[in-house]
Amino acid sequence: MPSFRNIQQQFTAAVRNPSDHNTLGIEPRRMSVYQELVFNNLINFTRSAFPVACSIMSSDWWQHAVRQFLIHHRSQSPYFNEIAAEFLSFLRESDAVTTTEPDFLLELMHYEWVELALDNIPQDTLAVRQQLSDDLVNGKPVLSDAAWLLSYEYPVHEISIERQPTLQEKKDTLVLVYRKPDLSIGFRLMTPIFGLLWQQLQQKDISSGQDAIEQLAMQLGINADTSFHHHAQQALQELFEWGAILGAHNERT
Amino acid sequence: MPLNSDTVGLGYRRSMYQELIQCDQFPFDFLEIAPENWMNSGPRLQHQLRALRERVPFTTHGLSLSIGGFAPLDLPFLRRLKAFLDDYDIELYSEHLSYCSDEGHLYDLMPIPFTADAIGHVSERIRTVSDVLERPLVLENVSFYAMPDGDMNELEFINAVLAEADCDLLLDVNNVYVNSINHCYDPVQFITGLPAERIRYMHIAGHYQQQADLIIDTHGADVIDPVWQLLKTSYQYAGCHPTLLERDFNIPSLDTLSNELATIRKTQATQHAIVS
Repeated sequence: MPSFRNIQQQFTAAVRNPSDHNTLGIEPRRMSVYQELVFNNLINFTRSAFPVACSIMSSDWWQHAVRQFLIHHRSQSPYFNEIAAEFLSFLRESDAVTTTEPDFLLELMHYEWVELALDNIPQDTLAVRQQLSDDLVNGKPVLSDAAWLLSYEYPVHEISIERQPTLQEKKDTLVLVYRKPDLSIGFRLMTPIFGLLWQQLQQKDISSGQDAIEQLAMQLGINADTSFHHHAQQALQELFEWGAILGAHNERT
Repeated sequence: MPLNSDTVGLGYRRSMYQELIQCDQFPFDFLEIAPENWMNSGPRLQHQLRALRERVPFTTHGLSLSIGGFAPLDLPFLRRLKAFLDDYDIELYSEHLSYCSDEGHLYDLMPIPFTADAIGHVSERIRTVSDVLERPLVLENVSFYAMPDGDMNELEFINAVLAEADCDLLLDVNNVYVNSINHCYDPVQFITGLPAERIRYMHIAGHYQQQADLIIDTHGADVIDPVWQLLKTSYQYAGCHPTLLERDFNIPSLDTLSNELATIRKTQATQHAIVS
């Protein structure tokens, strides 16, 4: 009698790759129940996580990609809502499925995954918000864990089956993705200067919103006049209303 | 507080939230959740879960433990699971007597070979899980479609694991029915061959008949009459236990589901009438 471990290894090998393995002597139609359950489950999870990419890629491509994922990847996450991340990380690291797809595919899939990822960020953003002040200028702004500034080479937000950018249509794209106060996920295109302000706010040693604005002016080599302050403060206020800034720590809070 | 023996539960799916939260009087006494679908979710889903938990107790039915797998138990996962169970004040944690991974997760349940060496392996892991979670692990008899080579039959294997690990059983009567067709045995003999004193919780569900001798446990259809009969048989044999209706696909309205929930209640009431 072979060990249970040995039997399991043969069994999962046959589930992962039905074409290579059939050494257990199990009736094929019964083995194929498992092969199909596992495969179709992964097809469903990946399709629903990447609806735009899935609409662009052929069904054959998707099935091939999931099959390669099953054969070559060993998912470590026990959570079903992380299957999409496992699949994406496999596609990024593997050269098993990179021959025919459009160049933008992995950026698009990342952009689609972010929505799922931010929904799952554990921070209770509403509860944190309630404990903070709204004085973003004198207090130290607190950024939401569920707000990410992302930079892409393609205009990922515009991609659809009708609109597929070529290599020549690459366009640097800065997107802020954030969990809104109603807990849905928002997306905003950002200007580079807005991006720099965000980076200043991320600095640990920033003492206040005012400080971040001054640092930004210094970084840009410009004079922080009233108009600059006004615009920058308005930007902080917008980030707060969107939910990307949760509020501010000041001496009273 | 443990659930009363004559309680009825519903397997909770996210898509049920709106209907449940608007429902004034639940047609069930508890909800069962898969912890893996909630443990790492953000506040949007956590708020929904808390709103329901304020109204009814939860039981849990895990998916990713892989109690029969050969890779080491995922201890960080178990510790996080314990925190989740504590946080939502959940006493009952159940899982499948099955495995769902080799060196990586496959996200579906596969049949443990019924071998002597698997009994020792599984039993040791059951004890570890109970220790980390600080609650008993209740294991379910799973449906399976292919039987790898083994030294014994399913009933002998289950009974050996329960005895060796001193573990309680979640009796899934639909799975007994599915396996009795798929592997040609008598479901009543199977149920009455289980240790009645270890049965703590029951599941009932619908399935999909693919071929005359091959049924797939989809939880996507109404419960069929022979399975209702088996529930009655199970109550007669082991007494009433908290019983859960599982419905994961083709989910009908709560009104329709409440008919099946009412049938469970009726079956429990009939059993009580017989006993008293």
